[in-house]
Amino acid sequence: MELDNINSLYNDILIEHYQRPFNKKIIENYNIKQEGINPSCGDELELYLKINNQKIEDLSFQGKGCSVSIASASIMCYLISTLKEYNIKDIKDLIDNIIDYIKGKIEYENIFNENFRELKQEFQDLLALKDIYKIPVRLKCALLGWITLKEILEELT
Amino acid sequence: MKKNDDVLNNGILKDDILTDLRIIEKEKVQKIRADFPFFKNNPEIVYLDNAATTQKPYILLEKEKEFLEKYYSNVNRSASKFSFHTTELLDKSRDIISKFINSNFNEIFFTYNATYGLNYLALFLAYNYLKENDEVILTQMEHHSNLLPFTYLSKIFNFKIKIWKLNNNLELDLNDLEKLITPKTKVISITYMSNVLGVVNNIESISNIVKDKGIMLLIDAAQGIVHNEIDTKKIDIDFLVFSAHKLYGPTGLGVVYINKKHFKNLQTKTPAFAGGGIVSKVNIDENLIDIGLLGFPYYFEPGTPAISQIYSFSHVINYLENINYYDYKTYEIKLTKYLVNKLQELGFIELYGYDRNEVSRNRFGIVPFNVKNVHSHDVSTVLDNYGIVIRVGHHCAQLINKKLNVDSTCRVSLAFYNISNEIDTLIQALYQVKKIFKL
Repeated sequence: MELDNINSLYNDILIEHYQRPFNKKIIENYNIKQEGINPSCGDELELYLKINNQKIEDLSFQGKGCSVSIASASIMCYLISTLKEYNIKDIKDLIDNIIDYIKGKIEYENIFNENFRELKQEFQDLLALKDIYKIPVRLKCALLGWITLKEILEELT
Repeated sequence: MKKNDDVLNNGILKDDILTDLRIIEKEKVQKIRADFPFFKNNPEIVYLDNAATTQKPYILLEKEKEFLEKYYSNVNRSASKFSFHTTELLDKSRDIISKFINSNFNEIFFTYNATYGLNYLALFLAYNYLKENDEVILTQMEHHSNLLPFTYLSKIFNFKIKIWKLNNNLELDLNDLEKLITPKTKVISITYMSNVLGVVNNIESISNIVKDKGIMLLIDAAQGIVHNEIDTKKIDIDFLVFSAHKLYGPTGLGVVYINKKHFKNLQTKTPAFAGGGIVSKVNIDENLIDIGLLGFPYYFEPGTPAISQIYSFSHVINYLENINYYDYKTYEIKLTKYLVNKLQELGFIELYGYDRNEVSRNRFGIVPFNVKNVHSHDVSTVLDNYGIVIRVGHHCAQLINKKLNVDSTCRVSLAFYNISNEIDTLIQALYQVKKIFKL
């Protein structure tokens, strides 16, 4: 799979999230902290979550890395922070789908099962990551935050 | 080697490097490029990652094929005339390769690559020379291949590692070396040329400092030999290592030089690796093992060597000798100047070392930089989209990044077959990085 246009990878949404990341900070009163590392290119990420009653009340990240890893983590924090009413088990299922979408295995429309149907309009920042799978060496960068969050949620469910 | 090639060495017009480069490219470099099939087969690729590995001339392919088709057998073992001839070819190849660094036939031995050569020597020195609390000096610009073997072994054999640090020009200051040396210093192991900074170390001065102090000098010439002539008769070096694949040769072949002054008492020394091909006799009698070892260089070469690679590499060396390879150093320096000037003109590039030091015979060929506020992996991806191959990351020399205070850098590394057009393509692609990241 070849990338047609470098701008489809480095699109405006991705650059915006890279240059002005959402919640790139340490939130107060977090009760979970987890590190994710991508040894092939040295991306390092720390996720901070505040989880109570099986709900994600807040999340943030810190770290250093390329635009793809930072933007993807920012998009993740931005979108997941809107799911305060959702159970983490459902969120984990959603993240599994998002990971498959980033890997190019499913289309954007198919991320959202019946529990999340209404998010299709609101989650469009994910479209910034739609072509990453065409550059396999960068796929790990895009997945770092999502896989780290998935690991946390798997422990809790 | 013949010197003073007119086109290559004359007419450095500082204010018009490009005109100068174009003349040399037309008259010399384009002919060189025609000797390398890579360029014909990959017209869309701009290969600027020569410090990682270099492209291969036709002669390598032809000679490897010829050897495997006509002369192949094992060497140094069989009594047959055919195998004896193959052994003669290997000996002749060894002789050609040894002459390239002005050493003797029996002063070089072969390994898999420079990394294995450095590991071999570190082990050999630890087994036979280094005692508890002895000191080994390494430098902050070392490749992990030189840094890590000694570091691991220091823990087992209880010798000490001292690091010769970079100064603010990203060079090694000879005064700092003198301060590091103590009566306990037994070895200094140092790169001839940094694989990240392009800095060429003054190994002649280092040799002069250490030779009367009983300190052994080990040179990692993996990068150095690609850009600088080495004369082991002129400079007193104890050990030197390089890889064939960085010098337009085959992969899987490293060369180690050992100064013949270390041939004394060899039979009492323990080889780092042992096996077939290095012994003259073996008697095992009631737990006592009596092993008689062969002399240099076979002592260091257990197992079947990379016969066809040694043969083809010797023909690459002949090719380099025939074109007066080291005369192209002046061209490489000019090309580096052109590159650095262009990068500086961009205004959004952070250069390391070249920001405060001129391109010179002591700093050229390899240029590290970052695009300000853009991660090196992003730069690589954009450049990749234009067919430009560079290296990004820590370049297996992470101590340098500590000095630069960065996690990673972009590295352009030139060879004598690169041309100014390729640098122009790189600069165009860097403008795209600026555009994409809204710099």
